[in-house]
Amino acid sequence: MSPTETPEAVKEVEKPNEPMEKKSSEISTKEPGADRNTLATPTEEEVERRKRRNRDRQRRRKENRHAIREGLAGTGGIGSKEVKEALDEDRMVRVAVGKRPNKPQTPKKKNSGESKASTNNAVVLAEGNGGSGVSSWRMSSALGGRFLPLDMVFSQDEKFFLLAHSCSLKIYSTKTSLQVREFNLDGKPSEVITSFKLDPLDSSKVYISTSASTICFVDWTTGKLVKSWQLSNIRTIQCLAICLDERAEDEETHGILYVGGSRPENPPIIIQRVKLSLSVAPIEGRIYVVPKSSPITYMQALDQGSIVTAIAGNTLIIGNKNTEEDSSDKKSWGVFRQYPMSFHLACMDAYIPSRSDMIAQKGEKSNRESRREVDQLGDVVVGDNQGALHLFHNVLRAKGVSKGSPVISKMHWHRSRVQAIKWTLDGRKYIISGGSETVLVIWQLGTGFKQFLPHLGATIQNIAISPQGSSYGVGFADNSVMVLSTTEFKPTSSVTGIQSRVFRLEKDTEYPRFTCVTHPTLPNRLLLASPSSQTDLYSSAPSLQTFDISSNRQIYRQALTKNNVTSVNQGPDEYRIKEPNLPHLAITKDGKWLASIDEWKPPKKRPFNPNQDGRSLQEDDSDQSEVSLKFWKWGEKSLSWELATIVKSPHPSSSSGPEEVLDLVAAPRAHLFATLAGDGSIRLWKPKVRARDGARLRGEDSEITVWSCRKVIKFSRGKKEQQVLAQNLLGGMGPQKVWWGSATFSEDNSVIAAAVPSSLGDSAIYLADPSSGAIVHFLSGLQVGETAEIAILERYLIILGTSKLLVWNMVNGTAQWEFNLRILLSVDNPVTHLAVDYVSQTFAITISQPDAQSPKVFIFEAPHPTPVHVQRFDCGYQIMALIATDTGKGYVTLDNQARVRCLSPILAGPVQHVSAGDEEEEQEALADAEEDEPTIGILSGAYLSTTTHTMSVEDRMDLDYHKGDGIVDHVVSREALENILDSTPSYAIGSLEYKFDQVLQLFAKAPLLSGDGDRDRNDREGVEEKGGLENGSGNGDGNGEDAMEE
Amino acid sequence: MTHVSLHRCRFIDFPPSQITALAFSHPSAPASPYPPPKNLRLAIGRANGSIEIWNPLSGAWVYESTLAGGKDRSIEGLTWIQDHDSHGRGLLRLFSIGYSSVVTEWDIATGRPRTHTDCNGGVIWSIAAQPQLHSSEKVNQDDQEACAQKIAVGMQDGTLTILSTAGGKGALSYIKTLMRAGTSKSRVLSMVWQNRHTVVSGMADSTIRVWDIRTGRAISRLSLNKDRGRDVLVWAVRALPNGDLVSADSRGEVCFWDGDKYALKQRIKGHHGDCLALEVGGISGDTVISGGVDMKTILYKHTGEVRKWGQVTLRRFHKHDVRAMAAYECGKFSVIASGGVDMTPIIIPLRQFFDEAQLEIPAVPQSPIVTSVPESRLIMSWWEREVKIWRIQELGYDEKKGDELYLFPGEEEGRGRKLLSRIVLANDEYITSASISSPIPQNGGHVLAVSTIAEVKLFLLRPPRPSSDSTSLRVSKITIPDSLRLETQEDEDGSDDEMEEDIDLANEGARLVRISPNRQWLSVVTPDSRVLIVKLAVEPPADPKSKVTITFESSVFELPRQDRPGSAPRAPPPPITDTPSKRRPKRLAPRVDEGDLETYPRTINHHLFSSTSDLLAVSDLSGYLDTYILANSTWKLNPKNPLLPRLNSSLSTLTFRPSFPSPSPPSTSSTTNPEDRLILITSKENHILELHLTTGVLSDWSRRNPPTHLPLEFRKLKPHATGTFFETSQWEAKQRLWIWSANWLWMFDLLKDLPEVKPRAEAARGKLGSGAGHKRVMTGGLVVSGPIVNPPLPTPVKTNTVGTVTDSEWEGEGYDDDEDGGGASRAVVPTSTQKKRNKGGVKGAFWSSNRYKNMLGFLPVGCREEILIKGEGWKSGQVLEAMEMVVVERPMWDVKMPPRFCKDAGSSARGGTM
Repeated sequence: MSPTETPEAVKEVEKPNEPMEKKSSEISTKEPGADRNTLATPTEEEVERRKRRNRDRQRRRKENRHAIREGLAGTGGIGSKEVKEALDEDRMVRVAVGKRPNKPQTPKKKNSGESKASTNNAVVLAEGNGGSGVSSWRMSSALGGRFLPLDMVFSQDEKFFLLAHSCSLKIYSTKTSLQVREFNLDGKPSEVITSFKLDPLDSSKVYISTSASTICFVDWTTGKLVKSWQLSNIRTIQCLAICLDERAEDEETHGILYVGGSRPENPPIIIQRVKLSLSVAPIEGRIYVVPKSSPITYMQALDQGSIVTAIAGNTLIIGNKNTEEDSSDKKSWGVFRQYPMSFHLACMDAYIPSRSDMIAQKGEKSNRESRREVDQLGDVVVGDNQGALHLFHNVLRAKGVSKGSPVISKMHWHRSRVQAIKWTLDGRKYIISGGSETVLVIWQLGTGFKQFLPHLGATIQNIAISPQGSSYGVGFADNSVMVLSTTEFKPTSSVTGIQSRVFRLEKDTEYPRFTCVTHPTLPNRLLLASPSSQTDLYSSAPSLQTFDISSNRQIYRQALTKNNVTSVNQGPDEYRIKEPNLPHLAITKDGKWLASIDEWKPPKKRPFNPNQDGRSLQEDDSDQSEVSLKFWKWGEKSLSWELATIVKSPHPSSSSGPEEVLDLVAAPRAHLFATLAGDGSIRLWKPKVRARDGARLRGEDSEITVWSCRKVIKFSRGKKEQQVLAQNLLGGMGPQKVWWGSATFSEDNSVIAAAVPSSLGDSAIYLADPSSGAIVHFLSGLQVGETAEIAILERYLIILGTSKLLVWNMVNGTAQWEFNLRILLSVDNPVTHLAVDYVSQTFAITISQPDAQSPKVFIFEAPHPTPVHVQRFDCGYQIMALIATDTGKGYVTLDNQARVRCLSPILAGPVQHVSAGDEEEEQEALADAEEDEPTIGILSGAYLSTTTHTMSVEDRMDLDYHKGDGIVDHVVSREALENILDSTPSYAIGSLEYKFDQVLQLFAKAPLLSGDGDRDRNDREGVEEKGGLENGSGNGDGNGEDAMEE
Repeated sequence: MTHVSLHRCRFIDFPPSQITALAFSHPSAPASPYPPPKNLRLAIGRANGSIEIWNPLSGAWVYESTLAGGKDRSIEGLTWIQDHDSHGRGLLRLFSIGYSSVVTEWDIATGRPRTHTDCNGGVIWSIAAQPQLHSSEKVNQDDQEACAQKIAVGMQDGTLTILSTAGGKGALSYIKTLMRAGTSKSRVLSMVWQNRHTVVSGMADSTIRVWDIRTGRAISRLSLNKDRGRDVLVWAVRALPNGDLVSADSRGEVCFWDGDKYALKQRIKGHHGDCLALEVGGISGDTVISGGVDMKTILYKHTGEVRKWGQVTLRRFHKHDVRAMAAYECGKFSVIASGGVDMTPIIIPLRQFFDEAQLEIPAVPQSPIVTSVPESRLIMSWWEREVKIWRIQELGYDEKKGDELYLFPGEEEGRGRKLLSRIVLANDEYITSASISSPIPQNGGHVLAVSTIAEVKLFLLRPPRPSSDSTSLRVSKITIPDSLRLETQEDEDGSDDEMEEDIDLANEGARLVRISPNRQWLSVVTPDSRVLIVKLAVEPPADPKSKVTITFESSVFELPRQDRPGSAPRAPPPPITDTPSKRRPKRLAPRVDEGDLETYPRTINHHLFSSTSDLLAVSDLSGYLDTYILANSTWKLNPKNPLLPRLNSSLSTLTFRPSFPSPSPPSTSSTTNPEDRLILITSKENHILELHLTTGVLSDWSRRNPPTHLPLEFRKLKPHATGTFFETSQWEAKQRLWIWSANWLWMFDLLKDLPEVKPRAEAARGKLGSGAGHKRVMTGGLVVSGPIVNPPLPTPVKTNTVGTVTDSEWEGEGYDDDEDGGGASRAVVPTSTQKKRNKGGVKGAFWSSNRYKNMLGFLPVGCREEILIKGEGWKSGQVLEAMEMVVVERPMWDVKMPPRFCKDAGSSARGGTM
């Protein structure tokens, strides 16, 4: 098997050697020029020898594959273009890999203590991939998503409430907070819901307006579309208002709506009255043109359609319909008054007492006087973006309005924009409002008293009041919705979506990274750092949300840093005090320990000293910034993460402030975390169990676990040192570099790799042994640009840089293949993600640019440059996180609309098969069930039940290893031996003794046990790399770059 | 080339006094179609016992006089009544209470308390006057008791005492005491008359009690919930026109009570902390304004039948507790005056609360309390009972510091000044006026005249002995002979026997005193506005050791004042209001009672000697001017005095135009006196007039520059002028008039003519707003008042959102006022255009600065000096003529205020407006 594989790789490297210089790299498998610098420069003889060997092997290769390889790897241009086209056109590029051997994985697996089950898995996968050429990966439909900031709608009986995502309407049960039904808008992806209102005549129907000026009439009790209309005069419906009961003008009329929207031509913003009928097209009548073209943010129709109120920009608009019966069509609809205010209006609510209210108030007699009284009333309250509420008394009806200015009460409590405001239903006595203070304010109008419901945790965006007035529906900016009972102010139900950041894609904007990991044992759980406001791009994310993507529910949410959601978040100079951010999270594979980095930067002071240059400013910032590393233990009882250790400034810096932690990774098989920081060092953190001193509280463990730094691997100059160096060398002209870094463990903990910038703006990659702390290899000059992420998949080091994706064979010390990203992307800083799935032995990348048409995910197997699967996503989204589940479920993507998609191998079943023993049947049954019901929800159930056994599986691995020693050895030897014996030409082999030692080591080597990093094991790769390291470091020194420090 | 060397000094520690009470002389008449009565006055009571009388005068807000208080006195409550008169011209009487058991009636014409009436019930906490008899009420017109307004005072022990004012001035008699059942005693903190028979009192024991004065019984007891176990103090209670009651209490709540059933209708909590002041306004009583210790002024409005009252808006006009408020509405005039611990009265538009800015009256006095003796470089200040004299050091040229020309050599501490003397009077009354003479030759020192309302004192201030180290002046009292002969000149016919009587000048008391520039005459304006003048013989000391001898001539002349038609202001034509019932058409509502102030409008507020000491000008509150000429060492009424015009308002300040550098020979040869030109500045619209006293005609300058030519900014200036300084030069033709007030400084070059202002500007003049500030361009809420109905569709009309004020609007209403702290943005465009227009005219005819705030004085200190100028931009050897002036400021941030009661008040402050 390996004989077939390895030469292939070599060959791919070989081929383009001749035209190497002139080729501008595209998809190419050429050996990068940089390799020659770093690695042992192949002598002419070596080249010759390899060529010879290749030729020999090629003969043994199947023809078809040969052809493809030639086409791909051969002389540059054409082949790669084809691939590019293939990728672009999103055809399933199924290169007939046929019997592509996955065997090489097997020995590695064995080494690393995997069970043979994974071998099976790999085989199965390979088979699945094999002959058919059909994708074996499947993408789930989008889960999660963001609730639109629209007022929720309660059903008439308050048993259900309706919420809208951008393209779907979801019906939730008030009692259980579970989604009952969903109505999907089957339109273009760009068409989103702009407004939805319950039909006042038939409470089981709802009108939905979309940005494509469509009005859908949907029966939400069944989720069926009843009818939809297309408006012609308006391009985008901004607002929708439905009056309670406008007298039907004729039989045809189905309903009368008031629609505010924008149009391409002049006047740009109008309010229309739309008569809908079932048979004919809607009759649209323009009734008002909004001055100054401010978009209508809110609109209401009251009193059987005789009053229309709206806010647009800083103006409150009140329209009164002409009441004369003989009003013909020629006549204008009525009189509009506008009240321009000083500030932009953010929200509005109008209240007019209905006759029944009045009767209730006045008792049974509703005489003429009281009715006249009713006619004069009608109040509007608006909230502006300065935090003031303005209550317009008695302005709604034209008759009752005095000539002068109305009485306007100004009520100011909110510090900033009032986001939502509503009248309560109990006779105009109360107003409730909410805003970014996370406080629901209940204004008692008669007395001036205010009641507060504080600490709601996130900016209040919407308030809705249930029809009976028994509950408030509050929508928050963190993608959650809460139904509060009016009497006790207790939440009766709450729905929380994924609280990742949501933003619109724009050019020239740097998007923050999402911090997000999957739970290793509960694969449906997504742990993500959640900001307090979902839409605020630059707000900090101080909390950890655990979200179950299968049930689409939040499991829990926990603050990992101090936050100031409920306290004043403004400094004296009105700068915003930010919360600490969680840039990195890592979780151990058993799901027991979570490590988090939180960093806090002081708010930027406004007056900048113009004399200071940018660098000193930045340094000043870092001086005061705070970085801490926290270790959290999963509390089985408390069902939350319990803080075990706080390490303030995990990477202390001698000069100033803590060093920024660039990456935090968890070792796959041990309780071991590694942090990579700007000082060019990796620190390894391990726990130590210590007996608890002194008196113990009841229920506490007798021992406490303390995490501490066990090893510091210093491998390069830090950021500051390099700056100093650059200043010295270049006379202070050293450019201010963006510092970055990425680290990864190999699957078996034997290697830790770190990528940091080299002085030439490229990546320098260091491979170190985490057990000894020795740097065993150094790669440089790969010309991958800035490394976004690196990963190790069996013997391959995958480097995803800004300019190319490079797969480095650590065993050979050669580049397996590379893929120039610039083929796909024109921009310099694409948003890239890399994830490695050890189960399927694949890795996936997404590369996108902000204005990309549609992001794609490519799944590769490490040895081959051909993607196993290419998955295209919808337009207009961007993948902001890509995570491997490591449990056979494949990959999870999170996009900028807080939606999650799973990309899973179809035949992921073997993972379950692995877990042998007595549960096997059960697993199979579940796996079957999964195949029957491919929805994620059921899948998750299956996975959830298996998770408990994962550890036992791992335990059993050792046994497997010992039992099947012979087989394993056999497999190992073939590849390993080849690596040892064939890696160097026979004439270049030094002493035979050395070779023998190597071989002997291979056979005599003790197995690597999980969770035991301390065991002395000097595995094959390490040896190999040492060989490479000698060469590499030699070259590196010769180039005078990036001298290593240990 | 001129130069002003300016000392900016803030060391004069004048303590303004807190405002404790405010009262308008007339009851508010919001429904009246007429402008406010001419006799309308506002009394501002201060914590030091002084009462200031202000004349609203169509929004000009003119300071008229101070009823000087005294040591350990305080004003805690003020009320006005009007004696019953069928023609509505009853005497207006002012009553006050302090921390004592007496009710004081003030004689505002003399500035003295008229009577003290002891109520024998302990400390009086509140005072309220019965509403005036309504014309519809049928009472026996002859029954004075029934017609007069009664006064109710609230006592420490919870009883109310009813006093009768019947019987004309000075008559205040006890009628009855309203006792309450029960033993618990609590203070009566506030009181209001619900109608002529019902008094409502707010108590300190969480109750409001309603009393019927006819039966003397308490009708009802309105109970307020206790505030966390503590008794609620009802700080203010008011009655709405419909009979309902409003109360303000220590919980910060404003409660509305039904006036018939005496039941709580609504309570609104607006204040954080005690709500101390409350006022009712609006045509139908639909507005309530409250002020509290949280500095907020909150406006409530009646918002319909369902929600009744609602808090509409709040502003933060004051910088400390709001202690007192008084509302007055008549016709368009609609203001609330409010004051408090921050000592600054603020006039707030009531009905135009949103549309107009408030007017802030400076806390510093509107009459000068600082004067200077330029020859000796002295500054003298006087207030309450003390006189302080400082010496301003010469400007020096510091050799070490090189080019910095003007430095005070010497130590940093107390740099540039030295307190030479501090004289504290032994008597209780506060100083009303003080005057210091020019230096007596031979190093003889100065004569200082100090007056209180009861005494006149003379002091001799001698420089320190050369031998001693101390720099302080040696003060010795000059006794005024107690038996001087009073000679009254009878006007026309000298045939009458000269009234001869002895006068004890020292105990006569004085409103104003002044020593003539040549130190020969001491003029004294007595509290009842008689002008007395006495000749002093000041003999310079023969040798430096000896003392100046000052002797009084044996007789005191009382200068006659010309009789003027009536004592009512605006004599010609006789006011229509004199006979309201006859002139007015019947269908109109009866004219608001004018009331009568008797001789008060003739109160003298200014008197001034010319620099040659042979002319004396005296002006009174109604805008009349009396001038006297010294002839044959006797003072005579200026024969041309009847020719002098009556001014549109009282003078704010006046000055003689110095004559010596006269650029041209006197135009009229008949003028015997070169310095007979008197410059007058009126308080209303700041007109500047110049008169030839000897001929009684307007001067040439004044003819060329009628008041309508004055820059509009100047005419709109508030507050009115406090003082002037005339700058002349010996070398060049320079006659510059500097006019200053508490907040502004203007200079007019009288050698240049003012640019003509288009008469269009006049059109809008006289348009009366609410009587407070100018129009706001933008408020925090609605941009413009009133909705815009159906604007033109395709091209929306530009609404008045961004400072686009039309020209006419500007001329009438808006002008740039730096004092407006309301936070409202102001029109920027109009001022600039106006300035352009001015600049287009004669350049440099005037100049202004708003740089100095709360000025006590802009005074010359030191003689003019010539400085040889060196340096760039100056010709070598050029002489700079430096006028050395001192700007005396009393910044309010420097004035100590008591700690704020309300701690959190500042936390949510948002630039004064919320």
